[in-house]
Amino acid sequence: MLGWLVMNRAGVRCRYKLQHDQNFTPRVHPGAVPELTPLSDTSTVGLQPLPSHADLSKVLNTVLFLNITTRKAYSSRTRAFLSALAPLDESAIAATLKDPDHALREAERKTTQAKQEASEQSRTLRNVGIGLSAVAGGVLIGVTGGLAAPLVGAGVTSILGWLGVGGTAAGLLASGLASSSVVCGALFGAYGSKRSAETVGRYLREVNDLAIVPVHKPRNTLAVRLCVSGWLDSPEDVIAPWTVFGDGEDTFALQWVCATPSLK
Amino acid sequence: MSDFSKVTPPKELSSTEQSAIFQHIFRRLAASRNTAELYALAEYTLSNLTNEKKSLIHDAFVRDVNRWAQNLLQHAWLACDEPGGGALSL
Repeated sequence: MLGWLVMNRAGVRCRYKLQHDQNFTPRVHPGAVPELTPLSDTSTVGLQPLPSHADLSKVLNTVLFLNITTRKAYSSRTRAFLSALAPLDESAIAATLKDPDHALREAERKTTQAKQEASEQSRTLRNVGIGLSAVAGGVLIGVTGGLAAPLVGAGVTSILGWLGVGGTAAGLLASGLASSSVVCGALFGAYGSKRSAETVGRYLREVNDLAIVPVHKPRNTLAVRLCVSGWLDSPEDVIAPWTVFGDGEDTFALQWVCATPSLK
Repeated sequence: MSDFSKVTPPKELSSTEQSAIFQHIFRRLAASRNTAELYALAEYTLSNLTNEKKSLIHDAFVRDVNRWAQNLLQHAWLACDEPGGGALSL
């Protein structure tokens, strides 16, 4: 075990950090999430290798979906951290949030197809599948209570069971689907823009001309790009430099006090 | 195209693989948290604000980063089938 001292020049604050050996595993209390502390091991040397990129991406998509639906926000910090591990499928998450019914139907179609193929091979397997979905239904009702009620009763339980999702994650996923309209509102629509407008209005009462202008027609992507122009010769300069961004995230430009006589 | 199976963890992953993913996320998140805290410390040291004011900003930032990291870790833990925890296995 190695140790080193981190201290700033003024010596005002200091931290003592420990580097544990390769076999260190985070302390886990049964049934509880391990806690991140300044002393947590940060070395990935000697860990089991990660599974394939595709599998890792799917797990990260789940993490992101859970994060977005519980926090009702998508922070740039989360995006930067998860994207560094593996590519994220943001469009799939956005599409699931916007149209949960279709997402469930599609998943159901796939799982039913897979299940039918499997049951042709073994009749016993089909009986086990029915048992699993019944157990998953019990878990979901227990965990989510009334919040996910509209979708829990509509076959989400059996779909999650077929997809092999259990435990608290199943409850949270079902809750996320049930509250997807609220999440969509917070991320893309009425709630978010109303709240933003109120906040901006409160802080910038004396500013008459402030707007976030879409550069292209918004497609409601999860991540957005906000551009701020420097020197302006004309009002068109707010948007013009950023039209180079075509595909990918929605692009917006900040319009800030353009109504001055020199720009008219 | 929306498809719920795209936002659920793959069924084929073994518990060892799930645990490996969680371990990687845990350690990288710990590194990310520590780096953010070090930057906050540097900002605190180099700032010209009064001690009281910069301490307030530093503490608020660190608190926010800690909350974010722990929250994300919790979701990673759930997505990896709660390694070491008490998940119901179906």
